[in-house]
Amino acid sequence: MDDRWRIWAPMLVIAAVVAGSTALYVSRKSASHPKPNLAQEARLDLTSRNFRPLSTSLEALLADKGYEPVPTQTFSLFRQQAPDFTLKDSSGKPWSLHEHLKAGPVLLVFYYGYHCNHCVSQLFALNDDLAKFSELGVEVVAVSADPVETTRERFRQYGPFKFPVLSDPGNEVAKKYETYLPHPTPGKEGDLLHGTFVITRQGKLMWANRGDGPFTENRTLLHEFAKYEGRLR
Amino acid sequence: MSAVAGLILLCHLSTAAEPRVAFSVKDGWVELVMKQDGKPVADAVVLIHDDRGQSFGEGQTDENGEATFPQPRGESFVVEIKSGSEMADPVRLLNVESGVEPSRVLLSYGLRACCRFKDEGGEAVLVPLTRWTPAPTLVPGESNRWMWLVGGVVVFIAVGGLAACARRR
Repeated sequence: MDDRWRIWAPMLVIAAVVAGSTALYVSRKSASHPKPNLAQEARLDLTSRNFRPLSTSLEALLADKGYEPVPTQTFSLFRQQAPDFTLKDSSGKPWSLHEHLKAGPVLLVFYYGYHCNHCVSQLFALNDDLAKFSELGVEVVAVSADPVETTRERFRQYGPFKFPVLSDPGNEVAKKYETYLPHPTPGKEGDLLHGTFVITRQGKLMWANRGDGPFTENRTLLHEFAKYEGRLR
Repeated sequence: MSAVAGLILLCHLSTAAEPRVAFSVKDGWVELVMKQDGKPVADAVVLIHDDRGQSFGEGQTDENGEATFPQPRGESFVVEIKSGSEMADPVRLLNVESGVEPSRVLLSYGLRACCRFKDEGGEAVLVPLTRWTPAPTLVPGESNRWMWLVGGVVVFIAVGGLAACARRR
């Protein structure tokens, strides 16, 4: 055997061992990394946004003349009939907007899905203040492209929300409400927005907020619904 | 992890208070008051278009954040507001019996979306848009210090081997 190989062969063996053990270490480390607790992270996101559940009674909140609600953003469907849709809820049952509007106004929320902290945090905020929305006769409903199975799995992991969470495969309904902006090139993924819409019992869209972050000012939403329900003094 | 940090940073930036604009109508004139964080926004450029998209008027807000213009006829009209170098999304106002609707508006800018939506094998995946992804860090940190050490040992062995080989020759 060539003298050079007497030196190079052990070197190559050492290098292979080092590379192999490094790869093993990295793969084990990533495998043992704990999965994030999304519910906990969503709560932290709400804290960072200074969200606090409303502790005052609905009557007192609506009577406060000093409160200035967040104005609506401009949007193309303002004062128009809300686009109707039927989607499956987390139990797989169909949920129709027009059916539920017969019972009262609807708060429609588009969230990114149960994937990251800010994606889902608004749902936790609404869950906290749900009793006040119910007191006004408002039904809260949340929509994302998460498949029914994913929502069900997250509910099993972290507990369910007290309002319907619907699956909008392909973001077809989100497109109608302009919270999903299809890519101009066919076949490429579009862009998502958070969206919050106040729909009166007449089915009219009267207030909207869309953007990069979730809308967590529930007091504004209660104020808007109270206005259209004739509950503001 | 860096993508998540970028997302969080962006979302915090986006929660900075956008300007609010109030509209009221008196004697056929529309009064606009623009405020940001409760303070009047002066010298904002206001462009008005009628419902056919024709330019109707142009002006600026005064030191009180106010601007006044005649109420355009028709079903609706559009107001565009530029403050500093930023042009807000156009505001479409409807002429109604009581004045104009909406009477208060939260200005938005571009309504840029946060993420791209991707479906990978039935699982929804959010892909942050490129501009929000911070550059990868090259500074040895807690997690990659071990890798740097291993790399150093490998280089040391390789250099040592080459030196030994050269000496034998």
